Amino acid sequence: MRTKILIIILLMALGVYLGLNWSDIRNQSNEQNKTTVETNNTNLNTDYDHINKVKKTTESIAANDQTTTEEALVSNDEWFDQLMQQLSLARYSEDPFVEMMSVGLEFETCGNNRMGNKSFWRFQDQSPTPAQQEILNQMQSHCDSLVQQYSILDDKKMETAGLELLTNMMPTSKLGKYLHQLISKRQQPEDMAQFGRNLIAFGIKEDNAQMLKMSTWITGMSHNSEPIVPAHILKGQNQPYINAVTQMAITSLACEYQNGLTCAPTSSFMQTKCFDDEHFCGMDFSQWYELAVTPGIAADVQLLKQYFQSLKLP
Amino acid sequence: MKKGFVFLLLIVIILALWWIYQSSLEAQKKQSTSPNVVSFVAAESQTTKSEIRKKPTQPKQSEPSSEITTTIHFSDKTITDSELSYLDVYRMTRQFESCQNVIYRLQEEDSFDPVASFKKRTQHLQALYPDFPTPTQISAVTQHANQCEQLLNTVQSLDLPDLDTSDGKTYAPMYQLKRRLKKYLLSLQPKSPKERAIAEVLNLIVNWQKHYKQVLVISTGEEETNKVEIEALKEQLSLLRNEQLEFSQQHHDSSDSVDLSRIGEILIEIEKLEKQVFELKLVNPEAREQAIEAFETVNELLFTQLKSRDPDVFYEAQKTLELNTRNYRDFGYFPYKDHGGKKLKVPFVEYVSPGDVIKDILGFDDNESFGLVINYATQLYHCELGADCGPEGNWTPFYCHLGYDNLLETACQHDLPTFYRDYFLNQNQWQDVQMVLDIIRGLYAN
Repeated sequence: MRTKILIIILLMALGVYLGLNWSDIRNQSNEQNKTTVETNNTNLNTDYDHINKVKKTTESIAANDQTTTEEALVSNDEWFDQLMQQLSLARYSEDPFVEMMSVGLEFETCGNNRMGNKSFWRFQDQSPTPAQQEILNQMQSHCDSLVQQYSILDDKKMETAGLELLTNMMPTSKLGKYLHQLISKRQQPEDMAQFGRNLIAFGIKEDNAQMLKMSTWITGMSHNSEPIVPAHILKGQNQPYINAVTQMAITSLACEYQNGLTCAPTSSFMQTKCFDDEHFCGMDFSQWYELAVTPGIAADVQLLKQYFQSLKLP
Repeated sequence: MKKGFVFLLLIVIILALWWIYQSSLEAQKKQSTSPNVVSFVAAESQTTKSEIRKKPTQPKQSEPSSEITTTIHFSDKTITDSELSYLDVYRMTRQFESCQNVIYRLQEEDSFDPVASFKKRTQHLQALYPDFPTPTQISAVTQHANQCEQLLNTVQSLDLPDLDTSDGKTYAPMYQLKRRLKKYLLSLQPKSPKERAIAEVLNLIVNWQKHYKQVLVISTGEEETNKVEIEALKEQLSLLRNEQLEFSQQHHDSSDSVDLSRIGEILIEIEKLEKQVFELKLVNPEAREQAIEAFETVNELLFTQLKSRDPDVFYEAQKTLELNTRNYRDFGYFPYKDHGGKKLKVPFVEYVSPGDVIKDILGFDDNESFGLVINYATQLYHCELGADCGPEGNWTPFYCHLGYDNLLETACQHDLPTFYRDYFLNQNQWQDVQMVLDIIRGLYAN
C-alpha cells in the first residue's frame, strides 16, 4: 500500500512531463527550438560531479537504445547541456532539480490533450461551445509554447531516463533536497498529511505555484495518519466539502506566484469550471471566486489560508 | 509504447487518486469527539415528526401534511393483495429504491450474505480504520437486509401485472420487479386524500415525462431530408468505429504493439464525421416550439406540486423535475442533466429545474459550490414536511452504511437534522445550508 502511494507520487511527478512526449508536437517543436537555444550556463549552480553521473546515466540508456557509445557520449553531452540551458530559465527556482519538477507539473494540463476534444469527458457527448473551444485553443497554444521552450523534456530519452536523471541530480535548494530524498529513497513519506503540508509551506516560502498545486492532489490522500487539514481547523466530517474548500484555499494562495499561472483561464482549475459552465470561460480564479462562493465557503477558505500561511518548513 | 505509457499512466493516476480520495473520507470520523451521541435503539427508528422538527435552529415556516409519514419500511405481516392500500404499495415502491442493491443480490446470488458483502465493499475503509465497521453499522446492515428481504417476499407474493415486452427490451429480474410494482401501483385506486395526492403527482409525472421526451425527439432533428448523405457518413463512421474497436482490443491484449496516434486520428475523424451528420439533421422550429409549449403546461403543474405540504408529493415532484434518476443522495440538485448534448440538433437548454431557480436566487453560479449546500437544504426541507428523517429514514442510511465513502457511525444513531448540524457539517456550511433552506421555504412554503 505504502509503496503504491510512493509510486503514484513519483509517477505524478514524472508522468506529467512525460505527457508532452507526443511525436507531432515534438517534431514540430524540435525543429523550431534548434534555432532558439542559446548556450548560457552561468546561473546554474549544480554539483558537476553529479552532472557527470547523470550524464553517465543517460549514456547508458542511450547505449541501450542501440546507439553507438561514441555517438551516445557526444549526443548526451549536448543533450544534457541543452537540458540545463532550458532549465536555467529558472521560472520556478534556481535549483535545476526543482525547476525540472515544476516545469513537469506545468505540463499537467497538456498531457492528455492529444485526441481532440474527446479526451475531455465533458465533450464525449456534447460539443464545446465557442467559449469553451477558445479555452481549448488557448490551452493548446500554451502547451505548444511549453514544448518549444522545453524541447529537451520532450526528448524520447527523457521517457526512459527521466526518473533516474532526477534521482542522480544533486539539488541545491532545501525544497529540492526534500523532494530528492523522497524520490531517491523510493519510500512513501512517513506521514502523507505532513507531506502535503510541507509542500504547501515550501510553495509559499519559495514562491512556487506548482508545489501548491501538487499539494491539492494529495489533499485526498492523507488518510494514513490525519487529514491534510487537522480536524480542529474546520471541524465537521463532510469530506467532499473539506476537500473542496481546501483546494480553493490552496489555489487562491498559488495565484500569488508565477504571475498567476495556476489561476489563469487555462489553468486546470479554471478549465474544469469553464467546461462545467461556459459562463466561467475566460475568467481567472479570482474572478470566478467572486461569483461562485457562498459566505460560509469564503469564511472557511479564509480560515484555511491563514492556517496554511502559518505552516512551518520541515 | 510511449504514448501508451502516458495514457496508462494518466489513467492509473486518476484511478489511484480517486481510490485514495474515496478511502480518506472516513479519516475524520476517528478523530471527532461524539457529543450527545445517543445509543441506537430500535425505537428510535420510528422518529416522530415533532422530534425531528425541533432540531433545526431556524424556525419552521411550513406546515407539513396532516398525515405523518414516519416510516417507509413495509410491515412484516403477511398481506394479501386485497388488504393492501394504495399507500402500502407506494411505500413498497419507495422502499424498493433503497433496497434495490440488496434485492438484486438476493435474486442473483444463491447465498447472499449482506454483512460479508458490506465488508467487501468497504475493504478500503477497513484497511485504514481498524474500528470500521462498528457493531452499530453492522447491525444497521443486517436490519436493512432483513427489511429488504421481507419486501422482496411481499412483492413477489403480489399479483403484479406483466410488462409490455413488445419493444424487445429485457431487464434483470430486479428491474422487472421494480417496474411491475410501479405499474401495479398506477393501476390501484387511491382512497384517502393523501393517496389521491400521491396518485395525482405520479400521474402528472407520467404525463410530464411523455412531454419532456417529445421535446427531445423533435429536438433531435430529422434525417429524412438529407437521408442519402447521412447514410453515407454513417457508413464511414461504422468503419471507423470498428477500426477503433480493433485497436482497443489490441491495446488491451498488448499495449506495446499499438500505435496510439492512430487511435487519436480515428477519434478526431469520428468527431468530424459526427459533426457533419449533425449539421445535416434538420429541426422544425415550429414543431419544437409547439412541443415546448405543451411541455410547459404540464411542467407548470408539476412545479406547483413542489408547494405541497405532503413530503411524498414533494419528493416525487422534486426528483422528477431535477431529472435525477440515478443518485439518491443528490436529492435537491443534479448539475449534470442530460438535455440531449450531442444527440440533439438543438439541446433542450430552455429547461429550468427547481435547483436552477434556487441557484439563480442565491446568486452563486458555481455548480460545485452550490452542490455543497443545496442537497442538504432540500433534504432538511423534506424533513420539515414530515418525511421520515430518522436513523433509518430517507437519507441517513446512506451515511451510515448504504454509501461507499464518508460512512459514519453517528449517521446510524441520529435523525438527519441532528446528524448534519452536530456531526457532519461544520458551522459555516450549516449557516450556508440554513440560508438556502430559507430560500426554499420562501419558494415553496409561502
